[in-house]
Amino acid sequence: MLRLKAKLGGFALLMVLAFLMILGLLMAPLFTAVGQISSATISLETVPAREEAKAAAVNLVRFLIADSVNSAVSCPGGSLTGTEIALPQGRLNVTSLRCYDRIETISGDAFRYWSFESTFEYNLRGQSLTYTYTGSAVQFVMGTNDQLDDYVYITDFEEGR
Amino acid sequence: MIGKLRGMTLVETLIAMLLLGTILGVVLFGSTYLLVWIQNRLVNMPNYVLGMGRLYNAVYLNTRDITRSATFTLEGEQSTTVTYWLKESWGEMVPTTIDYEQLVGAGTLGGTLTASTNPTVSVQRPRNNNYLLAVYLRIQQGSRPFDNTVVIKKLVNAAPVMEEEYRPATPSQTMTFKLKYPAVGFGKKLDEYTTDPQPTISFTSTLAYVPATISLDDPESICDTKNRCVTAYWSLKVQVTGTVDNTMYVMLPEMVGLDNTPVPSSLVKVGP
Repeated sequence: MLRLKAKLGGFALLMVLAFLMILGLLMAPLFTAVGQISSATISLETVPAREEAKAAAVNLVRFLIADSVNSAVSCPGGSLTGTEIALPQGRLNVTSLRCYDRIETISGDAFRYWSFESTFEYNLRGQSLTYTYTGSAVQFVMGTNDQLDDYVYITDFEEGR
Repeated sequence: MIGKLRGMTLVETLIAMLLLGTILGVVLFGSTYLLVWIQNRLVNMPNYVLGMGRLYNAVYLNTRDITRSATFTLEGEQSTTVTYWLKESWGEMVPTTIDYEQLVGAGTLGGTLTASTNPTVSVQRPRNNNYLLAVYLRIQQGSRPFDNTVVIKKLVNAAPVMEEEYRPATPSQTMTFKLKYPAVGFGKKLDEYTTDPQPTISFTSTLAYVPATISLDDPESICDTKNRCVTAYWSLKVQVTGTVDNTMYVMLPEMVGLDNTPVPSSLVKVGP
């Protein structure tokens, strides 16, 4: 009787193991799919965030150049540093904005030439990634009272790590 | 009494069996629906992930260059081929052609992207917009479609403004200014769909300070893969017709760049 019970116990253990194995086999594709979905989500999340940060950097530089009279940046030679804004995906910092040349008109400037450097600190699931954007811009001075009427052309743009 | 009870039990048994049958039927159809629902997504998911991975890598690799390109063009409305031009140095535009269908692998159908997956790629540029490009990917297996879009934004303006270091220090009868990006002509912003983007390349300054004839020079023919060309000019020639003075102001006309960027008219000081 005891032997029969032991035999049945062994059989039950085997059944449980078999059940676990079948369950494991069923779960494996699910795990693979979930893993792939999460890795795809990261890449789907990273690329647009970086592209948006580039566009935001360009917009910020445009505004700072157009607003350079209000922030009292002399041209040529003047520079503006340390403008930082918070984006949902990270921090954007214009580390350097320098006016290096100009072309004069009768009163004031017709064109001003700028170079800029900006960094984007991207916080991706606790990991901090920093990208650097450098470039140049040309400001076409309209000569109106409102400096924001000026055209600002981004003439070069580079991304680095 | 016992007979009645037995009859009741039979009825109850029948009802119980009917209920059990209903429950089993619901479980059967319900679980089948659920399994098909899960399978529909799970089986397609690796294809979708693979396709999207390829799309993002392919698009991202080239986005870097399209972002800083002078201009780009789509071969046709149904085409997935994009040509973009990068300014290598003054007077030199380098074209690069990419076919997104080939890059993503929808054309070659490699790996798990088989014919039954039916992957399609389409590229669109919003009308009259030279700065945006949208790449769509659609993967469909059975009745389950997956799609996503990557938007590429060109950040550089190919503005035909004067290069700063080429300002002549001493004015002469003829002065040549190099442009940062070539101009396609004088005038206001052009509508590329209705106007031939090649207006006159000569403009007469009527300003009292310096009467001058201003023209565009150093032409470069920029053509796409279908041999549709536009002539762009890398420099601005100012020929003074009046008296040459040490301090001179020249009225520059409005100019249009390769990507339709307009530069308004300006009065610039040349000389010391």
